[in-house]
Amino acid sequence: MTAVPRSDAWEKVTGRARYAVDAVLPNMAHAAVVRSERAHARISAIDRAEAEAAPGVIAVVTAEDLGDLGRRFGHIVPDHAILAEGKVRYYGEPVAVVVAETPHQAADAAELVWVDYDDLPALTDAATALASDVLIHEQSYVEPGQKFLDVAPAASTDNVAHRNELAWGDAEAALATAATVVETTTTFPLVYGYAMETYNALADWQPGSLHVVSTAQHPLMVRRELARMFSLPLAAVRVEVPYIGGGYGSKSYTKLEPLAAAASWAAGRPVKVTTDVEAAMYTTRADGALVTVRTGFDADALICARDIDIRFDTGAYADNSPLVLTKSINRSFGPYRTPNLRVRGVAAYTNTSPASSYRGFGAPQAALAGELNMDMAADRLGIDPVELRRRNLLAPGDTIIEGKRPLDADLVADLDAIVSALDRHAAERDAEVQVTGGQHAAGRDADVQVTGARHAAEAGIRRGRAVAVTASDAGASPISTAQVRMHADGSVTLLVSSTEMGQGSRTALSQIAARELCVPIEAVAVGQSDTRFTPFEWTTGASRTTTVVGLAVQAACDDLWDNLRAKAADSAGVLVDEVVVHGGRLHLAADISNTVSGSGAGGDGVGEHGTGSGTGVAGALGAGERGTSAADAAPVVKDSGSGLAPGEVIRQWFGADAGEVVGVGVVRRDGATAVLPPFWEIGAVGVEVSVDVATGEVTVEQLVTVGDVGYAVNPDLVKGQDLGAATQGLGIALWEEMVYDGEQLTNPNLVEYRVPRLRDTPRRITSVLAERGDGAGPYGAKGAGEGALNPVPAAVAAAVGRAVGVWPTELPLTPPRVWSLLQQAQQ
Amino acid sequence: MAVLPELGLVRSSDLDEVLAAVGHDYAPYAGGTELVPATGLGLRRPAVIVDLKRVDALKGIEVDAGAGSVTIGAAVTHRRLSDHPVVREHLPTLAAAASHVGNARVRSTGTVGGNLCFAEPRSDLGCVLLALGATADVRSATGARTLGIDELIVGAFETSLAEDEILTTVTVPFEPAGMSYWKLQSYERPTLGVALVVSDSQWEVTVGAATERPTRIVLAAGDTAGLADFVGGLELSDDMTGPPDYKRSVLRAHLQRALGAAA
Repeated sequence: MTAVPRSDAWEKVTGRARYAVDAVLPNMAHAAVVRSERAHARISAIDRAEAEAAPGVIAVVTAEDLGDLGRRFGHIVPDHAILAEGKVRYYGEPVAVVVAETPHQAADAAELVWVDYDDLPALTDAATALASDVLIHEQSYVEPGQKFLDVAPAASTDNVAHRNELAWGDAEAALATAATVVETTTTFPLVYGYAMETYNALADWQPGSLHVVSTAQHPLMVRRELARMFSLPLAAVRVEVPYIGGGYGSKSYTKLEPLAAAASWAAGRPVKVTTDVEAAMYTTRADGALVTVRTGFDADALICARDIDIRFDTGAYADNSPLVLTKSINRSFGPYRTPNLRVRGVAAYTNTSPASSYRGFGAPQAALAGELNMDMAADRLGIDPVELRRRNLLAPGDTIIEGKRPLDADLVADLDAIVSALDRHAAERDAEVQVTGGQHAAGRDADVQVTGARHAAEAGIRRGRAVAVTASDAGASPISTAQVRMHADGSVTLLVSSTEMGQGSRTALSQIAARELCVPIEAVAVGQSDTRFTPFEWTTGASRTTTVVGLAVQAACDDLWDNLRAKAADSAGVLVDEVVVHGGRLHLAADISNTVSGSGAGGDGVGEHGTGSGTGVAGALGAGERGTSAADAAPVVKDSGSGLAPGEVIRQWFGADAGEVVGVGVVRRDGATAVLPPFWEIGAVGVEVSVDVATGEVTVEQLVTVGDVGYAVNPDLVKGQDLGAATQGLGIALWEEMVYDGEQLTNPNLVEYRVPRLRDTPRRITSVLAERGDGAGPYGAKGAGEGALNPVPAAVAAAVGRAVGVWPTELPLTPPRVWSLLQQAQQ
Repeated sequence: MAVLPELGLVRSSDLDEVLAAVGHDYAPYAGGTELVPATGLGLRRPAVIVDLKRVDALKGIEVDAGAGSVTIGAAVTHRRLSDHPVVREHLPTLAAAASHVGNARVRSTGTVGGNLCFAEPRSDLGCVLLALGATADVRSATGARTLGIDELIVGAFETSLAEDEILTTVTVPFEPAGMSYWKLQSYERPTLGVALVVSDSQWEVTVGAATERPTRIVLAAGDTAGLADFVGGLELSDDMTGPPDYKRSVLRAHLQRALGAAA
């Protein structure tokens, strides 16, 4: 479609956009959280008398004050205490919450809550935790038969949050007879999904109701947990989510909401809880991973087997990690033909901040080892790494995992697009070297040398190029509902519970509605998600919104047209079949059959109607096969052939310049989304890096991403997603790591936890959009958002390995680490 | 949680009033780029902040052609320092170093005085000013004294300032020929900074960021043994930006490149 400007640009650029942190309620009080200063300890006493007596304090709340509230949350394993009860399991865990009239009073009083601890051994890494007899969780929280999607958590008390396996054929036997076996082990760091807006929640508990405004990516999931914890009907729990200042998966599922709600329940006031970056880093991170991949190749360099072990460092609470682990397993071996496979995964509890969803959802962790392994194999086999991938990549329509959707992408074509863009970049660079004689043009201060910018012709620089490809079973559960309310002037309000966290979904969904309803995009308004008013949405994640919610919006528009036809027929006194839609207007079939013959639906309106879901009215309208009734009931069509605009139909039916007609669309596991996943999300990137031999600094000079999205509803937004995701991947590859030194983080701030900056973006970037119409979503669309992150850490690692001559085993590739690799290479 | 405590404020355009106020619990405040985070983290707990930003005497940049020096007020921001024509003309390396401090927000509010007086080892200005032979003019309500940069900065986060003293100006001799400043900066702050003044007869080497405080040596040109001793003897920090071995290796490589001499 077209790259229309973002509908939220004005309010965001002018600072008027409202985020959760801006929310206020009358009589609101403020919370400060007292956090654990131990990684693992029993709480022997909490002395709060001094805090309670401090100025402005309304309540000091600990676990023992929570009465008959549900004490724990966790949508897969309900292991997560609202406030630590009996023991603490990570440094930074909430132990008490102080509610006061002002944030200052709350913060001051929080320092007066004295907690006594009896230390327990701190198991701060996965290997230690799995080998230890000390238990982080001494009980199982799982009821027999308890499941979330396909994930059935184990009722274990052995520091294992989850275990899973995927296998076919006989990997062990195939590896034993393989011509070549290549083994790779990598460590993926603990990373934090840094977002400009940190976690916050405002809650107002009143008898029989709970109102929450928060940064939740999945408001309906949060509603479900809060309803259970507070023993309220779903309808009595209202979760509002205004704009979110960045999510990246880190805000999926339940975070601070129970804490704010419990504080409100205890204090009898609306209570707001906010976090700074340090508290946010202790709230949720991504799973760290140690992954070993062994791949066997036959004499033709075809994969005969892959045997993969994945070990997650999941932190103190399971959160979404069991599902992340399951997905990581699914995403670990492909997208290659793998006749024999065994993948085993374990997610270990550790005494560190809890891990959960993070952009890519297990794919980056697994791909780091899997794709680096392909490069190492290419080296060993003496084959070009691109050629090795070409030989082994799955073809469109191939089965990746039995019973799941066949591959809906052309990966070889994607790979070719990357290589040709990298070659073009290299040619541009070489031409530049000739013109400038090797002098770098950038940098305004000739007299200060800051390391970083450099050039091909400089001495002491080594280069490496690599590509990487991933395929993720994305889209999550195809459960979505949308409503379109058409007003008397034909403009539209679109209601969805998909959250807007910067990805531009309100714009893209408006575009779909505008196209389906033949109205300009300015005539479509979309608001925030609010479980009281907006319809059900499973989640906002897994790159699903354009595809899954887009289908729901299309279906809602179809339903709206259906209702408009019914109203038009009712007004005209004809049967509904005698009213047809063409060119965004409603006509009598008899009239339209005179102007549009048969399937010659060449009018703009027909094209703009799209080729829809094929259900109900959409098929009849979208395909351009209009009704053929010969009835000629004059009232509908005043001016033969021109029909009535939808607004006219509404006004006519209500008999006033007023009224509204509503369409409802539903997506479930049926039709286009009957087979899971709703789509395979492709990650396909190429990078070229340079390494400064003296300092170990890595500069990613070239980046090529392929957005294999089937159809780009808004090309600029897709490219923005790809560039953003790839840049986040560069952060993991080069800088980002939560460093535990003993029990606590040494770098819980953005000075020492370094995220990518503008100057870190590669010098040459090409963002390719592959639009082959091969997706299940609207107009053949598939999702974007996570894909371009997934292969980036692997690609950078492989490129650095090529430049340095030693394969990296650990990210991020900080200058000292790369320097160590260089030292190894010399030996 | 990083909620700033409520703070009292003393604000005056008169240097003497400011000097009368500064003392225990009364923290001098200019750009706030160091004080505010330190206070948010509870590392500093002032009751009152004494605003220096309105004192003209702390904001000047004056050239003394006769003496061959530039005097820079402690409350001059990095940005003003880097953009000022006098500084660019007579102290181009200092101007350039200032243009690379932190990030744009830090440069717009952070000041020369704050940078020096917090004595954060991972910084640029102390290293460059020590290499330039700058002196620090220090005042209190009762007196004044002048210190070398290495007398002002005595350790990591440690200066010789008394509680009632503030840095008012630094006086910097015009930049000599053969000066350069190079830094390795992979994170928000520099990992290693090296200021060199090289002439036919002499190598002046000043190392910062990786040491507790900027450290300087003057060697006869070509004294590679002396250079190697200096580099080998430096106590380099072990932190997230790298172990001492790494920093020493980077330092040697830079000196090799810049001086053509193995260190």
